Amino acid sequence: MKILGISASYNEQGNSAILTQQALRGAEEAGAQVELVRLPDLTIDDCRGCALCLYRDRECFLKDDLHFLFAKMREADAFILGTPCHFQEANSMVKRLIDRSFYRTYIGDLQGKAAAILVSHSKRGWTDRVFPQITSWLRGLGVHVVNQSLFHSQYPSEVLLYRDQLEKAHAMGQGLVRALREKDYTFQGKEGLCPLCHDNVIRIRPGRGEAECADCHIPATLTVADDGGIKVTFAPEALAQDRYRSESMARHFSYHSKPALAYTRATRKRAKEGKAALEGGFAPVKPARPAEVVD
Amino acid sequence: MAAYEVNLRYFPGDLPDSLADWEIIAQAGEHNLAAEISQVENPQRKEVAGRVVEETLGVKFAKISQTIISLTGERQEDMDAFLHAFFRSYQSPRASFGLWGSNRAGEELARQIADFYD
Repeated sequence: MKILGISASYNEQGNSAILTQQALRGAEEAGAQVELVRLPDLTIDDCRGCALCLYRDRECFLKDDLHFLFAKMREADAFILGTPCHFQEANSMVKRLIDRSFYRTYIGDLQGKAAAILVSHSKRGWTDRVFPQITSWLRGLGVHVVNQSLFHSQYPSEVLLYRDQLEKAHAMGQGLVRALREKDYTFQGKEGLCPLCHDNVIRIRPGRGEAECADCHIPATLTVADDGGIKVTFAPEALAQDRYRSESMARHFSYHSKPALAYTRATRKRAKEGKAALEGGFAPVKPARPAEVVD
Repeated sequence: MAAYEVNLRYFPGDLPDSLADWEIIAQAGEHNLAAEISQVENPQRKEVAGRVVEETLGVKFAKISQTIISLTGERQEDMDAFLHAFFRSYQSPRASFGLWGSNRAGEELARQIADFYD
């Protein structure tokens, strides 16, 4: 049983880096073979949005360390992802990884693996999108997210002050091993409103006045509970509308993504008519590089 | 040729199975629109990651499995009202090619209403 730690912290002694190490230690003590990669050690370029990976059914043409990382992820049975949350979301390295995972989502070669997510953050109340962002990525890949947790601390390595946080990270690693061993991917973390992504972000669909999980898009019913609070209910049959289900993802690629290539060809002539909009485009301003500085 | 011609292309899973053609035609009629429904079934399949999927890459739109709702009408307000009601109840086509085959006026109107529900 192999577990891959993926640390997105620039700082090797940053809080999320320490927590990832703790979780890996827990996993190792529970019998797993563990390995760690640090995203700052890897060169991962930005997604170009060309979708050639999908249209040509092949790996991304960019020659960088992403292929190494995905090979490591394929070898592993589960992942422990640790990231700082600087502003509402995972850090930029995780975002880049998410963007570059398009082809993986299509070919589904990470399906059935499991993951735990550890997020360090410095301000309470400023983490709203971090789990929807990461869990939607992992769920789109077909990965079972068995645990996710926030860890609050403000300066680098501060988490070392808090034994309970270190123990919690350690236990998350052990819990991941247990899930793999028992093939029981029941969510072990703090339950949220949505039974699928375990988050609490509910949106009201524009123009429709209906509630749904903002991430999974499964419809919800809002009622006023006896104590005056809002009660959110998801009907069991609504869970079938989860857009990250394997069948939904397959439909997404077959019917909403791939035909875009035929559309591009079919509208080529009409697109030329619109090219006037490109005329007189603004030249971007760029910073002067040292060699270009004229004294 | 009608002033507003809108083709709504829905692919498998986009609309509830329970929605019958006659319901759509009747609803369009209530808004003074003519509606035709056509179905396309493409048997071409391939396996990707253990999932059997329809291969749509390089396939012309007309050959991909879909339900095409073709609406025609003379008045903008009729088309506007129908599309609002329909997109509110179900959803707009998910991709830009979901309006393929519409005339320019119909496509622009449908796109604006779809934007409203995003």
